[in-house]
Amino acid sequence: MKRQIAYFLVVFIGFLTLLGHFINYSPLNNFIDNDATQWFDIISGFAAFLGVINLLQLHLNKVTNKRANWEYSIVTLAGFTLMIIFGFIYNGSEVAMGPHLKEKGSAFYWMFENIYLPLGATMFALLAFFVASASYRAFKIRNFEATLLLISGIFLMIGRVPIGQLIPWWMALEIYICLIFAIIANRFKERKVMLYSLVIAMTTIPFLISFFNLSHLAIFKIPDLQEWIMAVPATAGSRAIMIGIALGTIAQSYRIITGRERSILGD
Amino acid sequence: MNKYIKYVFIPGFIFLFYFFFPFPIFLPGNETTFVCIIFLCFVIEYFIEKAKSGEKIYMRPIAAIKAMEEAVGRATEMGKPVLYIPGISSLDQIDTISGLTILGHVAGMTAEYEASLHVPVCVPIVMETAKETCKEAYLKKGRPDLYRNDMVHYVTDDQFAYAAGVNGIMLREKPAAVFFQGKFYAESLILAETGNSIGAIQIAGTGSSSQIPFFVTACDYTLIGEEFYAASAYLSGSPEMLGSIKGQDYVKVACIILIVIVFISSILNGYGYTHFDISSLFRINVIK
Amino acid sequence: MDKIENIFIKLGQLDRRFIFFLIGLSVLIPLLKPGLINIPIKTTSNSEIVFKELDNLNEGDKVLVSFAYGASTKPEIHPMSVAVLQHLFSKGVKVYTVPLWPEGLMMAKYAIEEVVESNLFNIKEHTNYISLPYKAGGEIIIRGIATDIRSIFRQDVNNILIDDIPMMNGINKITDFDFVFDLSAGVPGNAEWVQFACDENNVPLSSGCTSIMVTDAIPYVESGQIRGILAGMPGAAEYEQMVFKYLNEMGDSKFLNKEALIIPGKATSRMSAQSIAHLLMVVFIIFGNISYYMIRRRNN
Repeated sequence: MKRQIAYFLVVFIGFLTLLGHFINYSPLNNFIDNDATQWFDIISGFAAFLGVINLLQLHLNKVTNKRANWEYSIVTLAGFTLMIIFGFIYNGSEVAMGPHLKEKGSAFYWMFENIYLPLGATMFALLAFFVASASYRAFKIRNFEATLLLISGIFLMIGRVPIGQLIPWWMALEIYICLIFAIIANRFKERKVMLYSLVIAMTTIPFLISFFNLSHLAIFKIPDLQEWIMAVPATAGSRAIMIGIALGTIAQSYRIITGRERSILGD
Repeated sequence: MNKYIKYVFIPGFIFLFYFFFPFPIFLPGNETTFVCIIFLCFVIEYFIEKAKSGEKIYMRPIAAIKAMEEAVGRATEMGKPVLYIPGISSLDQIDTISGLTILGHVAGMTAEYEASLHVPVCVPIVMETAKETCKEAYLKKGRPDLYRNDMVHYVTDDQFAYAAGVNGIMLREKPAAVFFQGKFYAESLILAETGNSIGAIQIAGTGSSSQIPFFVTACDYTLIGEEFYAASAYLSGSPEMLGSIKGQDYVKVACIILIVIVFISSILNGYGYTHFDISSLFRINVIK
Repeated sequence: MDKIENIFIKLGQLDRRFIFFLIGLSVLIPLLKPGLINIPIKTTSNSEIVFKELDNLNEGDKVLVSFAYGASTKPEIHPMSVAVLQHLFSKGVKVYTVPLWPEGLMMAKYAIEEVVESNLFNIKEHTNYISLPYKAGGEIIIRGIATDIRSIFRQDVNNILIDDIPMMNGINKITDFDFVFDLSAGVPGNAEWVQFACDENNVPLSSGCTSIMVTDAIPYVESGQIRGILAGMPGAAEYEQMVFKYLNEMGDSKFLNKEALIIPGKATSRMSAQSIAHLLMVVFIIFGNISYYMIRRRNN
């Protein structure tokens, strides 16, 4: 019975929300635009209490039973308690409780500015290291797709920063020649032949480009190439994935609204 | 004849009602959206009916979905837990709901294989839903004794604090399999790289298109875009669900045809061969 | 030859901690010694479009600036927030800030404070700018702003009724604004502004976002629904440079306090660090590939 009520609620509210976008009836539109969202916010707000209780339960349990890594739980509980005190009990500034949260002299503001902000920025900064190790590991010429990823990744990384403008046209050309030879390297039976071909290509092709006055082409300017990669292939791929995701979202929503997707309700 | 009534007359009647009803009961400006939604719903419904009537539906094999069971099996053999991360968004995002439906299937697998499951969540309301999902999955597999209440627990609402917490869990517990299924933002690479460093098999799926490249680079298997939304249907294997995926694919074909038509029409209009700007048909909804 | 091969193979199999150490150094040294490497910044077309759009605004125009970023993305987006505010205030534009993230309220406060404390502009709250408070709801707030802003906001961030603020006269919905500028690091962000407010009401929108988000936003930029985009720290640095040049070349203006010092923003000084870090990553990738190739040859 409990599950039937849940299905009914899902289907009813789902169709109501969908109809609310099309039907010109202000109580319905009001419900969809304002009331339903407020109901969700209220439920989420109460669920936040559950989250807090769960957090406290878990960590207190760890500390009292001295489970593995219980020391970290003390830090969690201490941080939690401190912020509760600074948020609700101790002010530290001259304004009233409540507005003190964004007042410069308050203890809460101090914690936000000197602990929370630097910690948040530090975690985001970790991305730089992880991007380096991920690209070092993943950007290998294994197959055609991986090579394409490598080439576009290198051009975007160099083109996006000011150092990309310092790279002259002939250096960009040498990079292209090296990349082409890296892709076709396996076709050479002898290493010496490959090396000699590479050297000849790297010395003669720049002269040819210069002779035919083609050095001004955008393909030899890495920032312009980077902009083209973002504007054309990246946009095309992004649009395709967006359309696919949108269709997937609609189909999934349709399955949920019509009560066919039941695993979320435990079926 | 029944099919014609259901899939031709009924949508036709709905369109007639919408466009020609004398009283203004519908909001103006939403015509394109309405037509698209009705078309999509009836196409999906048609293929669901076809699947229910016994027609075999071919689904291309998706390596990530096949690998889910292998990953849980690997965790069982190694005696290590399975870590499931349902994203950092709340239940108002469809990605989170998809992630939780997949959690139901993965929880069923862990119940069957007697592997330990750990689900740290970012949003309290998702925690409650995930708990119910896991509990029901374990009950359905006949192993309610294996379900523990602390299997699903709340970490924190903050994006990077959550990433730090989950990283800590990964480095301490060293799970053998890590699932990233839900909505992720910038913390995706931090999580995936940490999972990679501990040697876990990682299966990711997200609707955040900007995070897909990070998961593709760092994870062993990735469900890209709509594969993620189709995964729950795949895992259930029920004809209804598989039929809906086929319907979705046909709608995609229709979108491709429409894009080609708009492309050709725009070129012809641009060069002056026709004088009809087809993009005027796709003006987005006007809010009243 | 074998020795050289072995060296390359070892270089391609470096411990990741060594890579992290070198990346850390490559970022730290240029930040500690900003004058060590000075690479001129060339502006890209997207940043130039943003600059032109804001430059075309006139005195008294009303611009809604949305703050949808937090502490973690502050280093990337905050410099562009300050540069955009400087540009707007230099033109006598009225700025309305609205935070869509809980932390956005503090970010808006920091940005405004930074501009006010620079003494570059003679600006007063409720005359030149107004800060609206944070309201939970994300996309719903955007829709509310689009249709009826007064149903969402009754007071400003200082609890003064917006009906009592002259700057809010005539502001009822999104079409009462001349421009919307969104500074975002996630959801809700520029896509939501396009979908729920600006595109259907034909209000011009521009955005500044993190580099990661640019691939999501670029389809809207290419279709013209977002007019140009400031992409991450490079975009912030380009915009800072353009605003710095613009302020220095500005003649006598009632909006600009010429006695105050015009200093380039923080993103400009950080670009040299980013350049070196990117170059180092490319070098590692090349070593990794050479090593991979050599190992494959040996195995064959």
